Amino acid sequence: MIENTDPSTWLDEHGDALFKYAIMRVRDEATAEDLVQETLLAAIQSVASYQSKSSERTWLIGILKHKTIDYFRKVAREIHFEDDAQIDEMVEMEVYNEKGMLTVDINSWSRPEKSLEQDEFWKTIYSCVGKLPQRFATIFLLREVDGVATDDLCTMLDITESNLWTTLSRIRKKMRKCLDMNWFNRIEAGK
Amino acid sequence: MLSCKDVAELASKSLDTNLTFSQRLAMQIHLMMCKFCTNYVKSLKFLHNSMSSQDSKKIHEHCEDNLSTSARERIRQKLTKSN
Repeated sequence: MIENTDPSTWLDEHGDALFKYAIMRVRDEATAEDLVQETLLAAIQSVASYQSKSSERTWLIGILKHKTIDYFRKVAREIHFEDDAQIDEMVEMEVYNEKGMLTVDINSWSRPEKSLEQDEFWKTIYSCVGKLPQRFATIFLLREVDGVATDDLCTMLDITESNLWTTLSRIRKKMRKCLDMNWFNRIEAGK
Repeated sequence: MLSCKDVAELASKSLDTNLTFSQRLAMQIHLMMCKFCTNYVKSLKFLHNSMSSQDSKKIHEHCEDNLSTSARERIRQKLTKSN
């Protein structure tokens, strides 16, 4: 037994945090519950590898991240993420002309780093992620927040590298637009 | 000459992998002439950097879903059994 950690408290102390992490990525309660359970079981098995230099929660989230990737790897061929390729083409047509040149103005964000300290900013990001189709939300969170390597994402999703570049570009485009409309434009208007 | 659409793709790709010298050069040339793409590239970088900061973990705090009482109980039973 490691002195700084007590597995019997994990469910109460970190259960909800683990569930939030999982549900944002899988958007299904039963799957998220399974992932939390598998994570805690795996953590109990490997409690000896816990080092108090990272916080308990960070360590548990790390295990959950791997469980989540494993889950998507297993179901990559089975589940059909909603097909949004067509909608996307329409979005692109609104922004670019036939030569691929921008037809709308892209605003500059003034002093964006100031936003990071604000809780409302993260709330806006949360709601923008929620508006993404599930596949996009999952890829965005795993790549940008969890820092999963792109080759791991390709294996996990069973897609080619060039497919991933296109997908990531579309996701970032959507997130940028959502932040622009719901955060940066709003604070500009408030001045 | 790159289109704005090409620049958007390359800007995103540059956050994940190294672009070739000619890609970077073509992008720079376009950016010198295109204010909107310059703004686009900057905001994409900002988004990427802020998401990889420690602060981004705060996103999860805004999620209002929690383990249900029954789910919590099911997990508790599994954990007790495994001990």
